[in-house]
Amino acid sequence: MDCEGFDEIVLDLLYEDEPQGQATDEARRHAEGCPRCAAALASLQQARVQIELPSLPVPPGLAARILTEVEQRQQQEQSSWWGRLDRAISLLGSFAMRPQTAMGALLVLMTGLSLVLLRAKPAERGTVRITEHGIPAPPSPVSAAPEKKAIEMPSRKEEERARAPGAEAAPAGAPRDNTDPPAATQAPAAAPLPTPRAEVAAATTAAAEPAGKSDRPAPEPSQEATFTAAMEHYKARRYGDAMRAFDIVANGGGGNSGVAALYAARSARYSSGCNAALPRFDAIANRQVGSGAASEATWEAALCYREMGQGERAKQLFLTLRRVAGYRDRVEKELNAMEQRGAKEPAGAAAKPASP
Amino acid sequence: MVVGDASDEQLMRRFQEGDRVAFAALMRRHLGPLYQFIARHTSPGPLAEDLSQEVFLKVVERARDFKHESRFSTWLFTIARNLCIDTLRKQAHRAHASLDEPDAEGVPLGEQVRDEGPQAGERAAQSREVGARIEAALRALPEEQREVFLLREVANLPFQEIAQITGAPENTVKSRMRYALERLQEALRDFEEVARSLR
Repeated sequence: MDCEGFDEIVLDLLYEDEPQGQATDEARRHAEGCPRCAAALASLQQARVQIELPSLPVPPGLAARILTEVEQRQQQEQSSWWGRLDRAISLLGSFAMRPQTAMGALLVLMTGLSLVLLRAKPAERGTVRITEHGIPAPPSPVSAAPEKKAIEMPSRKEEERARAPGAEAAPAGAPRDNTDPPAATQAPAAAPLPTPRAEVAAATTAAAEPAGKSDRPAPEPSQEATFTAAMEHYKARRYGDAMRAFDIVANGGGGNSGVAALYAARSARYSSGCNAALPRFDAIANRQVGSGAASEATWEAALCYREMGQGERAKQLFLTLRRVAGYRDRVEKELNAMEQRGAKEPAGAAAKPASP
Repeated sequence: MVVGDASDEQLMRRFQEGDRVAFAALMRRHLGPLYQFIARHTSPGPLAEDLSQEVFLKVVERARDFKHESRFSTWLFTIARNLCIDTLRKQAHRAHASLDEPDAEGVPLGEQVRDEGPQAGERAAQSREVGARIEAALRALPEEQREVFLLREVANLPFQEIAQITGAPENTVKSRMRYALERLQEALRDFEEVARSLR
């Protein structure tokens, strides 16, 4: 070790608080043989002795004062809501800053997103089976049964009551021609065309049935209430509100969902026209094959197509309905009328139907 | 574990877990060096007392932030040093109290030295004179040398910790310490014989 190296380490020798290692041993040996460095070390050791600072006594009572102040400060902090909030945030922050917490949160987020994005479609929509003839096949008795029960058709007495003048089931001022919404006068004797009141009654009846009698679970009370409210909107011609409420019931998947979907489609037709309603009618006809709601949706769709000037498509749907009991006479009448007019009504002439 | 046998870090852990006795032990263990450091860094008396109290209050407030990545003494004296620097900056417009000027209690710093021995009379007077000369020489040191000297001699901290507290490299700290010792020795050369006779 040279003198420069000694100078770097001389304070470690002086205070001896560092772990003494090879370097300090070398420095000591160097000082023994180097008068300059030995004098420097001796001078510093002498200075330490000379400069020893006299002790300043801690003022009496300072320790007690500090402890008292600390105690008071802690009590204030604990009693103040801000202090508690501060501690809670600090605690949460210390947890949140942990990598494990971040990874856990990421995992939960990804799982939640997966559930949202990959969840199955509601089972109530069912499947559409297509026959060799290219038309939807009638549902099997097992699968059709609950649907038929859910859309319980009104009895002949109810229908006649609904046909009576001023019946509440038909919206006031309903038009009387075939383009009209489902007015009681248009319903064939055996047509599965439920009037609002009858449908409400049917839905209520279905809900009141014991669980053992129905394959489909009874609708929840809230759905029933929504359905009733929707029907009230419909009667009052608030078709926008009615459509939204019927959509809620239809998407809820209860016993009234089929009827609600049909009325939602009708509401869409009266509020926004055939363009908005047709996809809904088509969807009902395809999803609820063989049900009264599907037949009625097909009928409504056919009328819409006819009004929009798509005669061929309308005719196709009318022909489909000709095989359904209760529609034959109406269909024949419509087909005859179309033939007479040559199915040449201008497109869009009646795209916006008259208010019911 | 007996409080007195526990290390600073063990006591601090216990205090972080809510043991107030551990804090009291920590405070009593460090109050003396801390007060001396603050008193010589600023001025003795009420200011040093208030600052000492403030340091320990900050220890309590920030206890949960202490992650045991450094020694407790390093953390404590870092708080103290920062407080002293802030206070001195705020008081920069004021003139520093002279050593001969009585403090708030009317006692000059040089006369606040503990008179432990039974000697009285001339020996005590010489001791006070040496003490006053040392204090004066210390105050005449550049700030960075003075704080290193105080942390080393008063707080008895190793150079590695002083380097952490001051944020300077360890070799720089050692250089400052050596310069401080040499300057103080120079200032006290006239009193060398007196000091020797006193010890």
